Amino acid sequence: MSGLGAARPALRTGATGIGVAAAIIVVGLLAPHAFTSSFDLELLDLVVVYGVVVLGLNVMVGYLGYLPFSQVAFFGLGGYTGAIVGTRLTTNLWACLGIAIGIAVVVSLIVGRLTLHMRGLYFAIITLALAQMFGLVLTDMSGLTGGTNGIVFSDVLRLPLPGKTVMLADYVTSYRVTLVFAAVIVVALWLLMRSGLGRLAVAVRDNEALARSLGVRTTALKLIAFVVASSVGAVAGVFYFAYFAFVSPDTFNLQASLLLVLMIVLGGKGHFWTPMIGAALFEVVPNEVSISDDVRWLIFGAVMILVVTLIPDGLGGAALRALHRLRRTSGSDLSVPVPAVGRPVAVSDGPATARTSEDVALSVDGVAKRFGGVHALKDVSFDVRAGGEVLGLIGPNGSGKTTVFNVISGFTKPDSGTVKLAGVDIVGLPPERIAGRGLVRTFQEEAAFPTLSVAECQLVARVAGSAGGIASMIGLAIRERAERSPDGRVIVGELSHGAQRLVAITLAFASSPSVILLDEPAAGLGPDEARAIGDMIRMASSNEISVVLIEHHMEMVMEVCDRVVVFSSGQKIASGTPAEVAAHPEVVAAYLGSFGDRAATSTLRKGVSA
Amino acid sequence: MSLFAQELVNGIVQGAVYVLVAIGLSLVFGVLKIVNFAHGEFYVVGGFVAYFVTHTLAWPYWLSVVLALVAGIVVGGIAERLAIRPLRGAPEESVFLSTFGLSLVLLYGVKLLIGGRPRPVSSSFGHTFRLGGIAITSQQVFVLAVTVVLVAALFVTLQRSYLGVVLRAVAQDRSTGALMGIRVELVYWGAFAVAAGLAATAGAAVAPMYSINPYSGQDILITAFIVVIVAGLGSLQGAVAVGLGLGILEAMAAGYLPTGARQWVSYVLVVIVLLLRPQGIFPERATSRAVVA
Repeated sequence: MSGLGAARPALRTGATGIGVAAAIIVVGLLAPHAFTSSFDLELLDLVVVYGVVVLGLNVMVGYLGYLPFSQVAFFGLGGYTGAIVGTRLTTNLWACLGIAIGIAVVVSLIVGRLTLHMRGLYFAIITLALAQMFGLVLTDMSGLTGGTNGIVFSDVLRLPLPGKTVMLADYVTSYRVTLVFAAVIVVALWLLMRSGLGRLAVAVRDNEALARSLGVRTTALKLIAFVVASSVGAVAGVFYFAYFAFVSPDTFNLQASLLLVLMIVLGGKGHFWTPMIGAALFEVVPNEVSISDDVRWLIFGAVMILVVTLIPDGLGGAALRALHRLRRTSGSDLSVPVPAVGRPVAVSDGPATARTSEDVALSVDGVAKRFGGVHALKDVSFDVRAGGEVLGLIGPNGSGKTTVFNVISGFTKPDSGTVKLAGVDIVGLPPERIAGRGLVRTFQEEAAFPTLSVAECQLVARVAGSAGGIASMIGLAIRERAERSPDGRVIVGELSHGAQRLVAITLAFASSPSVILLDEPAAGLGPDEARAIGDMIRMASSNEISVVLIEHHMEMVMEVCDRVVVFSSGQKIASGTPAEVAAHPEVVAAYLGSFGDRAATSTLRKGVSA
Repeated sequence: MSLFAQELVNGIVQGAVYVLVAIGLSLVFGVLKIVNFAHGEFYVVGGFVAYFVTHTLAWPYWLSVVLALVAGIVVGGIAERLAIRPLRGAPEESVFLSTFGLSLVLLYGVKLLIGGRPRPVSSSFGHTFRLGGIAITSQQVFVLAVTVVLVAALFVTLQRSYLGVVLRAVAQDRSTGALMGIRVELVYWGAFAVAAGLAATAGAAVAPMYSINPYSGQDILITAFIVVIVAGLGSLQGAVAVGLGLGILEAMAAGYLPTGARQWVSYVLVVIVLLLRPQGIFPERATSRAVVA
């Protein structure tokens, strides 16, 4: 579901955001004085309530890239909890809120546990079915929920505060209480999303596997985001009830669910605040224009198609883009927080075997893995020494090299055998835990997090550890690009292929691991970029990071590796220094196939002599 | 025993309707790689055509079913052009969202044309067969026959014809298909239109049994979603098996359990699958290998 990331959340909305929000609240509190009709006040209240619902929902949609149709159900859960508590238990608003949040947290934890491992559209469809099921509960459990008639609340809610108790006896008071609570919730949510949670969520959306292998605990992160989004929805539900003193299933049906999504899409999912624009437009415009409901929905549908097709980042996103362009042309002074650019330190030439100690950093012992009838790995064993050894894994395509990486890094569970990191068995640990213990990896094809800026990527990587001076290496890769970027935000997806690869590798280094697995880092790169990667590997080694390298680029393998292990058909067939391996007849036969290609043989040799 | 047999028959007929709708949803996913939220509306369009042809034009019912198939294909073809094709290459959720819009346009379009009330459709199949204690209406036989013919035709086309090979090739690898000279856009268009036609036929075939209202598309869509989720998106055989199974389970629930239990069956099924296969209802195989049939 990476596509939701087409627009990126603005993670740096500054003090202007707070100023605007404060102004809105003041105007909002005074607004009832300007209205002559209660209908206008009702619309305003709906804008506030639905604004909160969609801002909560956008945590999932805009940041994490999931489309939960369950939001309407949590909105309803809040409304009904408020109504049931209010009519049966107590009219204290705090109690209604507390119980609603409690139930929402428990339910969203359970639902999240069951569904969040599914990606994209599957998650959307499942939550859609669950939301429909909630609707069925509302109509079927009529003893509790009043069935299709819903619940009418004839009492008055009260809000005990230190000093005095506010009675929500009239619409204006209810509205003002709603507005103040909404402001508090939204600001809290905004701070939460700015506090790294937002950035991590985007990282998971962009590249979940890489985030995990860098040590981000994605399962917990997604669950937190879901619980936050759902609870915010439930709180909004309580305030919906507090204003209208009435709930019925019609407010929380499939149409309502679509409406929430429409609001986000129209307003723009790529920024924190923009969904509110959608909420405002959808509540106010259709109600101020006198057309039938049917025509209204017909137009909504057409608008949806048009917006998705023509302005995928919504009205808010488009407006911000226009604003940005305006500023750029007027040459305004935007500070450029580009990461420090500098030459990397201490690049030694050639392998430095003397540095590597006899301590074993990583030991793979008797690992076997079958996929159906295919023996992907048969009894594979090798060690990587601590303190900066560079071990090359070579072998023909399909010989099991990447499977070994998957087993070591926790993405694939072996059928038998052990993998020990600094003497501790790590088989069965999830990737993020293994990363936490100091082993990270990169992936063959994928770049880093395409919609994050380079600086944000580094912050993601630092979750696992502290970033060393190595991270400044990245500056080389992006320098040119950064100078051309108007606001200094260098978006990873806009870099060249090679620079993206460098970013991904640098991220792995930035978490200060003890062992790093690089899967074909030079594949598809030009000679200069490949050389830069070779330099980075040497630098890692001289900083006592041990490296396991899968690479077809033979010259690089021969140059940077201390030892080489050769794979064929899921088995280790040889190991030794680059020179020993290159001379091994079985290796030459296996690696080059039956062709016995002279040119390739000479590449092997040349690599050694180089 | 006769209650069981009776409910079995009812269940198979209901299941056949699910199959006709779900199989199109799965076909569209398999070939175009999109989840079509508007798919249920084609079912409504079919019912509407049945109503219009039999009631307004006073033409025979069987003709209305044929015309519903045609209308489904035409409306589906137009819809693909307007709401799906402009988003080719866009993220999958964008297309998903666009199909929402499409669903609203179709739903309220139909509603503005015929109003929100359920519309009865009279059929020429009025006969009831009695076998032992079981009653089978000729309408039920007709629904089953239509389903068998259409599903068989679809499977044979996919597996035995040049067209089917082309379709499967595009489903598996769009770019290579295009390089081989297949007109991919035409294949997409055709698959979408055929799927819409199947749903519309289902709508017309059951119209005399349920009468038509504009909202029935959303109900059948949710059920069809559940069928393809449990079956695995893109698996046509799975959709047939699960669709029939769900129809039978629902009929049994209606026969043996308290009133209201029937509508819970599909949701309970979803929850059971969620609990029993926590590693994912959709095995990689079923999704990545979007091979249809």
